[in-house]
This record gives sequence, C-alpha cells and structure tokens, in this order.
Amino acid sequence: MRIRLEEHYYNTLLEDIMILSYDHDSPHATLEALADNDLFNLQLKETYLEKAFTIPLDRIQTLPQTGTTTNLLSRQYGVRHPPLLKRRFRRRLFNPIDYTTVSKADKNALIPPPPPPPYAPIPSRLPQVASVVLRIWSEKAISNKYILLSAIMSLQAITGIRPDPVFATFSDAAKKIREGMPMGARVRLTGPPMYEFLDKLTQCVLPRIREWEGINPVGDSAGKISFTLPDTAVGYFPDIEPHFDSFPRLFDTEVIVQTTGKSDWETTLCLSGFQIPFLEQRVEEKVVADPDANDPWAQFKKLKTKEERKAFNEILRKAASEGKVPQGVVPGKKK
Amino acid sequence: MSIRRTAFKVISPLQTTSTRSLATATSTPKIHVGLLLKRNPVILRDLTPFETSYYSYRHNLIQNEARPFNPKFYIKKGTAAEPRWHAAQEAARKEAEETGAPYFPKQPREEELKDVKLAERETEADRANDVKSLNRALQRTLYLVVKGESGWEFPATPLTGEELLHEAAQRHITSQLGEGVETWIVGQAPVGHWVEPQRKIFYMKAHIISGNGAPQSAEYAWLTKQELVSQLDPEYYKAVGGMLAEL
Repeated sequence: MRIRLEEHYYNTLLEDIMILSYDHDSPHATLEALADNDLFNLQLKETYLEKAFTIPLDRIQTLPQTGTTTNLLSRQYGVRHPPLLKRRFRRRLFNPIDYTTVSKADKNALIPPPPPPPYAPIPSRLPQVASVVLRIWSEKAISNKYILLSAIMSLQAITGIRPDPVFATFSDAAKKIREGMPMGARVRLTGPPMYEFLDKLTQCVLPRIREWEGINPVGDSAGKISFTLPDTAVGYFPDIEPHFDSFPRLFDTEVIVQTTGKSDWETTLCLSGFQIPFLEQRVEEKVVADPDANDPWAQFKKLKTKEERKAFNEILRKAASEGKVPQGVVPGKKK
Repeated sequence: MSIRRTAFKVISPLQTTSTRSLATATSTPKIHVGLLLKRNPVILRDLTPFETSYYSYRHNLIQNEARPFNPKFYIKKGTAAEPRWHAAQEAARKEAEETGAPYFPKQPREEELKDVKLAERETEADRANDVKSLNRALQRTLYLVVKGESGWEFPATPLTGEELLHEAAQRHITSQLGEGVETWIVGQAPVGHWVEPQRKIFYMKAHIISGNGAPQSAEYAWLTKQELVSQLDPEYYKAVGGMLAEL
C-alpha cells in the first residue's frame, strides 16, 4: 500500500523545508567556512553495496575488508581456505550469503556507513512527522464506563488500530474520580496509518468544521502541537459518516502531533506542507496575574495550609523582633 | 527579515564599490533573477516490478494479521445494505475457491460508482509529445524553460531599481504567465546561481499551485529533469542541475 502524503513529503516537501529552514546568517554557511570544512569537501567514496553489485561474482568478498571468499564460491574457483577448527572450538557464526561459517572478528568487521554530505536534505536533520496520538478523555465515564466502548470504537474506525483505555492516575473527590478508573481511550499512530489519518483529516474533516479558523501554532517548542477536534467534527471522518448511527456517542478528540522539529516554527512549517491550516498569529495563553497581588488584605485572610500558617508566623516573628508588632500577637514557638 | 537584509546586501548595486579608473571598461555582470518555476507531480509514479511485489507482499502480510472484520457492527439486520453485503461475500467466496486465494471480506460495489471511469495516467499531451502543455508527464516535476540566445535556459529578468529578488521573481512570473496562475515563491533567498560575463543570475524557486498560463516568449517548454539533461548546455546544467528534483 502506497502512502500519498509520505511520497509527497520525500518528493516535494523536503526540498522546500530545507530551503526555508536554511540559515543564511550562520557563520558555518559562508563560502569561506565551507572551503575549510573537511566534511563538505569530502568526495564520497563508492560504498560497499555499490561495489558488491559491480564486482564479478567470483571476486566478490564475503565481508568487507576481509580477503576470504565464501566457501561455496571458493570451491568452485579453486581458492584454498585455512582448515576449520574442531566443531566444539568453533564459533558457529553463519555468513548471510551462503550460510558458511565466518569468524566473529570478520563478522563484526562492518564498515560504518559513509557520512551524509553536509547540508544534505536528509530527514533526520529536517522536521518530519514522527507520530500522532489521538486521545479521548471524558468525565461522563465516571458514572457510566460503558460509554467508553463508543470512544474506543470511534478511534478504531478512524485509525484502524485498536486503542488502549486511559485510566485516571489521580483522584479528585470533587469530580468523584478515583485513581485507576477508566476515563478515556488513546491510540498512537506511526508510519502509514499516521499519514492516512492526516490525509483524511485535511481532506475530509477540517474543511467541514464550521466557524473554525485554524490551529493555534503554539506548541511545546520541541516539535509537539496539539488541538482538539470537537465531537461534531469526529462524525465527518469517512469511516464514521456512513455508519453514524452505530456510534451512540462521539467525543471531543485531542490530536497530538509529534514532529522532529526543534521549534514551533519548524513544526508548523512541516505540518502546513500537509495542508494543515494554522492561524497566522500565535494566540498565547494569557498569564493570569496573581489575584492577591493588588489585594492589601490578602495576607490577613484565613490561612488554609500548615505551610502558609508557618510562613505567616515567621513574618510576624520577624516584625515583632523589629518592634513593629506588639508582643502578645505573636505566637510563641512550640517546645 | 535577516535573510532579506543579507540578500539585499549581497545583490544591491548601491552597495557595490568598484575600484574603477577612467580607462578601464565596465565588466561587472548585471544582477538578474532567474525563475525555477515548477509544477509538482500530479499522480504517484509507476512502481518497478520489485516495488510492486514488495508492496503486494506487505499488503498480504497486513491482511493476514489484521483483526477479523466484524460486519455485525457496520451492517445492521433488516437494512438495505444487508442483502448487498451477503451477495458480495458469496461472490468473494466463490472467487476465492476458484482461484485458490484466501477469502477476505469484500465491500459491495457502489451502484453510483459503476460507470465511473478512472482518469488516464498518460495524457493526450504525452502521446502528442506536446512540451508546451502543463498537462504532460503527470508523474514527474516539470520546469519552465525558455529559448535564449545560447539555447534553452530558465527564464530570467534583470533587477530594476531597488527591488528585492523575490519581488522581481513575482513580477517576472506575472508578466510571463499573467494573472491567471497562482504561484508560491519559496522563501526570499535564492537557491542557486549562474554567472556569465554579462549577467549574474540568482534563481528563485516557485511552485505553480493552480491555474494555467502560457509564457509570453514564443519558445518555451515544460520539461522534466531527465529531459533537461539533454536539452541544456552541459556547463549550465552542471551549475543548475542540483536545484532540480529527481522525480
């Protein structure tokens, strides 16, 4: 099965990502710096594999850098081999070409692969989609855990992979959550299923969401960007839409895309190549200022925890030692 | 912003200071911007026999190891879909018995899709070898080349005034192809260069996103990299070949 988006990435997208992420101001990118760079000036020698296909069969070496030829071939072409040791002293390591024995030293003497040319558009240097995680977390499952079957089935229908249930790792008395309760479902996609999911998402689902402007391009600055698909949008997947009635309930689904980008800019650059729509401006979460900062009475409010009371008493004691507070107010130290 | 500034610094004629006395002739090449205008592959490329057998092997592995399909969830009893599903399964079972292949559940063919014809992978332009058509070589990337004084080359235009490379590239695209073509210029920095005695060309890469337009120059062609190898001057190809996509 061929993946459309994957071929698009390697054929078209990779070049553009390299052009756009090339740092022209870098001191390593100047012609003078490149002239002194041994790696840049390195002429790549022909690799072992290339050699293996151009050398005539009788001259082919069993392993790199060894003079031995395989036993079967040598018998045919009259090359003598050193006598083999007795079986019990012999390490039986098989040669993958014709299953004759080779010594461990020869077997392990593999040439390291040649270094890639510098500034080559190899995917390990450029942002690439690594995985996609689909996650459902529903507090409705507190009272009825069987509704999670619908969540699991919807994820399985979309991705083709059986999801795992998600269990609560904390307790919350206010919400009646106990640790270990099943609360949702989660599936991690890599490789072909991942690209198929992105394809369906960008072609069938995202264009049909109403009054939605795009994904906020704010990630964790380490290649991860997440957004939430509303439950109505989950019904737009072509795997669910024809059988919409079979799913008693659909859930808000969190989509967490992990790329190998090293910043939010690289991540959005890579993902927008797959036609994932982003907002033009970053919408940062507003940092809520400390509500107590402007409240002069905040420090006299009832202190709830032991640590707060302790800290407050410290302040009082310090003030008392400076003579700012009458002695009776300050609690004495416990003995 | 920084790339813009660097590019401006490098190419701006205002910033170049030449040590020229009255008797010497001007030989500074004029700055041009070149267009590496490409149309991306439209369809997936043909597979080699080895790739075909590899993918079919993988497909069989996945089919064999897949979780069995549960028709009860998708096809409800008493619906119109149920008899169609059973008919399709009977046909699939019969076919599997005849060919000796394992049976896999088969989706019934949609009535509406019965008469749908697949588009051809080889177009009319391919058969007529019409290199002026954008609708050719759907499996490969096409590049726009025009006939210059010394044979085929990528279109280029001199910079005017204080405009930047990507602005000049946009101007040249509009003047050549008209307003009907939607294009996207990749970044603001050039991807390659070519120096002649009279001109120094910096190439800007651009994609055709949609639309169709014929260049103003009479002699033009849309060629793949494989065709450019034989059409371009060897020296010129050596300088620009690295910018071209293999597929």
